[in-house]
Amino acid sequence: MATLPLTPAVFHILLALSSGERHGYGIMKQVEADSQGKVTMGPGTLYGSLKRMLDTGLVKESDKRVDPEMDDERRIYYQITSVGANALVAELERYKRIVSLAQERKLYPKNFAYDA
Amino acid sequence: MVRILYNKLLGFYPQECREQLGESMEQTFSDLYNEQRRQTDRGLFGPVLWMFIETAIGIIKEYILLIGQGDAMKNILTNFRSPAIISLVLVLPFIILELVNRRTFNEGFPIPLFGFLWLLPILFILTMMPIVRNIRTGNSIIANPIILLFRVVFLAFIAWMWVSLVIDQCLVF
Repeated sequence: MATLPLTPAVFHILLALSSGERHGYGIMKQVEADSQGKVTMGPGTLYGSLKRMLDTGLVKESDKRVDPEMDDERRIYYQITSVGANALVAELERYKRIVSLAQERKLYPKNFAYDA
Repeated sequence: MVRILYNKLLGFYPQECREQLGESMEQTFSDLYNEQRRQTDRGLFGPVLWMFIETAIGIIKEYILLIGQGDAMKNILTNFRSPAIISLVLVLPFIILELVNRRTFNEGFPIPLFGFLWLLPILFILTMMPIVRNIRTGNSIIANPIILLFRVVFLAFIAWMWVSLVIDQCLVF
């Protein structure tokens, strides 16, 4: 069982996998896209986190297969598990509570327009 | 060439990690390298160096986590005990000589120097251990020539440093 709060790397990987199975490079690209390029994950961080996530059951490996958009090498795909999905929701709830608290204390506007 | 070097770097991961994720990491490095080659006009040195450093940090993290686990720590302590005793036996005569000498001249004992003299043979033995273990079990010691080369250079460096320090101390005596 994953303990909250999740590390930023684990959180971003779960978020990237919430929209579908991905291989390592695919996860990196999705994390970069989700964070508008603000989070760049290297192989050391990605696979170190993935190993621990596999050990704690947050993600699992799916079959090795070829990515049609890339070369013909067979790749291991990773998918989020129900444990991982629950951990992601719990973490998002935690963020939500923090944002509410910040809004109550007028540290953060209620109607917020994201300026990228 | 860069891919071969990265593959060698992955060889430094703990065995379990290497077996579980090595192939995927190699593929991902290859993907990132190809992406950089397609996109960048400013050369590949910076991004490739970043990937090597980031992976090296990942390797260190894995070892730290491994050490944090009970069994690994126990193994390290068990492996460390014999070299520590052997090293102490090697350094003890010099410590006694130094103590006698210092008492005559009423000077303090140079703990850092002898600590260093004690640590060097420990490092030497710990570096030697895997090579001896491989020879004993009949495995080829040149299966990974780059790691072997690093070990031999490191062993030569330690031996040179230790002998230099001892000779230096003998001249003082």
